[in-house]
Amino acid sequence: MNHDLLISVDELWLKGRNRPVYFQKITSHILRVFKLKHAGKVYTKNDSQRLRISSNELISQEVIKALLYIPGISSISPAVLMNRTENESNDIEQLKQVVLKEVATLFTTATTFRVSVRRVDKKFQMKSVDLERLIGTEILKNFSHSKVDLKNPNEVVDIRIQLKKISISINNFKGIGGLPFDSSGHALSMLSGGIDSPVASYQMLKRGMKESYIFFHAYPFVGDEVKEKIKDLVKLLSRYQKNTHLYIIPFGDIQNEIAKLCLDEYRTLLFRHYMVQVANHAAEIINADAIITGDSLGQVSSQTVGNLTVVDKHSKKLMLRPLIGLNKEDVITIAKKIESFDISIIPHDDACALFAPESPITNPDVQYFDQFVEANKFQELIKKAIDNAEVYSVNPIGEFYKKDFFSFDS
Amino acid sequence: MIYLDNAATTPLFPEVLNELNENYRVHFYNPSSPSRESKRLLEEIQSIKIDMMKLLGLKVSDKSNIFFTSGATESNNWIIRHYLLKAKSVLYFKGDHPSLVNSIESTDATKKLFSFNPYSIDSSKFIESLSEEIELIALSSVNNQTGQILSEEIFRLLKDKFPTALWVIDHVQGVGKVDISFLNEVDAIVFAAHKMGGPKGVGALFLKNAEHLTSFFKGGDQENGLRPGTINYPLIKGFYSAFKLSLKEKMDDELKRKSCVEEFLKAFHGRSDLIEFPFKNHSPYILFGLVKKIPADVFMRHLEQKNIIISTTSACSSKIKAYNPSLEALGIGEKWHKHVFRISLFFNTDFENLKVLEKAINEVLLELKFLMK
Repeated sequence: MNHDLLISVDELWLKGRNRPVYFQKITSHILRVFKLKHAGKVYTKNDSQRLRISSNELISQEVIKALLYIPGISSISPAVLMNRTENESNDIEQLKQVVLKEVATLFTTATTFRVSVRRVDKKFQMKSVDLERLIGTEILKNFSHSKVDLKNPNEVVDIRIQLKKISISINNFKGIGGLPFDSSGHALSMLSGGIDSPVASYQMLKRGMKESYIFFHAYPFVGDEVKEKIKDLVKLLSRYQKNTHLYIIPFGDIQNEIAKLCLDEYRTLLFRHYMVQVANHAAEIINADAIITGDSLGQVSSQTVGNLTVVDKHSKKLMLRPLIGLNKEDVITIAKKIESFDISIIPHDDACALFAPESPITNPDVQYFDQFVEANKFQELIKKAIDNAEVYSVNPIGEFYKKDFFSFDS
Repeated sequence: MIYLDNAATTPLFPEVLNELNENYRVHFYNPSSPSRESKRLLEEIQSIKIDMMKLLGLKVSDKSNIFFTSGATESNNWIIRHYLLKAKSVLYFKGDHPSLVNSIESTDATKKLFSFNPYSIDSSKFIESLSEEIELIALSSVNNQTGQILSEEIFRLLKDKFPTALWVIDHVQGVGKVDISFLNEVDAIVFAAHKMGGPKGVGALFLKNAEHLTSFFKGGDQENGLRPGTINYPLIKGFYSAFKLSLKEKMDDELKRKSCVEEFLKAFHGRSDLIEFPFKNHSPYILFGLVKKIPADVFMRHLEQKNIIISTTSACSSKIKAYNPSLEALGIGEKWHKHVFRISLFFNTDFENLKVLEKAINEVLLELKFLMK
């Protein structure tokens, strides 16, 4: 039997007059996933605060799984559809059978449930409460180890009497919630290959940002193997988006130049500054409004208030640091949940470790820092780095398409 | 581009490329078919085999044979597996190419395996101290990572102590590059075309006595069913040409190469705090070095930026980070595993190339000075 999908949108009560816009964004994202993963035709309909998706072909578990990554979706319930006849008591008989069949796979162990009926078609004679009681009794009769719990049930048997059909749904898959993709602007997220940056990216994706990714590749200090790791991380993050881009910036020359000119203890801090500068340039080209980093306060020496201050002072774009107040353990928990942890911990050559000074600065001399960056704008080097960037477009099923030049087009 | 990773693979001799082109175009017939052209190709392959044996200085007999395989990995796997059907104890070296080491170490637990470093100064003592009987000895004539050469002295010691043991020599890095005096006394010799200016995808297994050989693939009756699969005449012909050219080049090349390699190495004498070539008695085609104060991969990529291609460890194992058991076996402490590099030459690497390399190494060491701790 074919299933519809009933999709609830998160935080709808907050959205007020923006509600249609959010619905539209989420619908378009959902349709994009269907287009990539589903062969049949797809129809969408608003169904009292929820979005109903129907198709002429069976919607697979794989499609449901892919939909659960979509930001803004609170939950997805597959619903069975039953055709109504002229005869109401026949329909009720058939409804009982369908419910028992659907319940069978779920009620294998002792559980609690509630039946919720809504009559969209008021011409249906039996009242909702009566039908709820009837179906509930039927379930209790057949599944003796189950119990009714009206307040806090494990399972809700959701029945809707429509004009021509009756819809029954029991299973409920939780989505990631938050705001729909591309409802909060566009950000460029700085990926390092470590544990934090994919988590920071995920946090902002949940808040409705569209993200592009930038990676600073320190060739010849680091080998090209690291690019595979970054692509694997972007592949994970692409699941949350309609489309995304990865920019791999050749950064070895700039690092080399910085290291030659600066005081040893300022090396790491200045690398960070110039990365943010390149990210600013890149963000300008691709129309991104903000830059995301995985900084957590005091985690490493470059993440002190003093160091973050001097770097931010020279950034025109808003710097977003969703992990700033999280402990490492919290970050790791999220990293495991979004499946980035196992990729992040694969060892890779790290230019920062190679270049790390004996004792990096934690409380920088602002005057020295400002003078250095004023005297060394590296305009030529930055332009060259951006001109030579490797650019990939990535779709939600993780397919990479190499682009010829630095640009953003969705 | 100066290509100095020839122990991984060599460029084709231009003559071989032309010949491959011609043979794939014209002589594409299946040598096992009944046509006159097919039969001619099959006959030619038979005479190629005999000629290759002769050119290697091997005695040709009714029992000896060469089988063409997909490469040295297949040859090593095949012959080790065949000999291990009977042999119960093996002497080998953990620092050898994985196609030898893994073929041997994947055998069943009843076999006794002994690994020793045949290039170390303690190797003769080790041989004296061996109290077990050894039935199979499998070693390389030239180590693929360090270029160290298996000496006649070690061969004699083993031959005298274990006169009935079967011998497999992996000669991949040796053919046309290093003289090995005892080839006629071993049972099996393995080599491959793409390390001598020939095409990839073809190798050889020479057997002094090919009687009772076991086949591990089942198929048609090519090579009497021992190595089934369509015989690739153009590839074998390309192999043969590269083989002949290598032996000819060797004659012309030898003296010249030794002196220019020595000169190159001399330039780094007395700088062992930065860079060192620790091994003596190595092939003049493989130079194994340690770059002490920076990771070798950083060093390698800086040379790459100057259009010079070298390798960190052998291409088969360069993905292993940090600890590398094969380097350990070669006597390189773990501390240095990320610091080893390999320069490997071919007949087209001339004195000028080495001069450019020397200059580039000096430049890179200077450029990276700020990273040295």
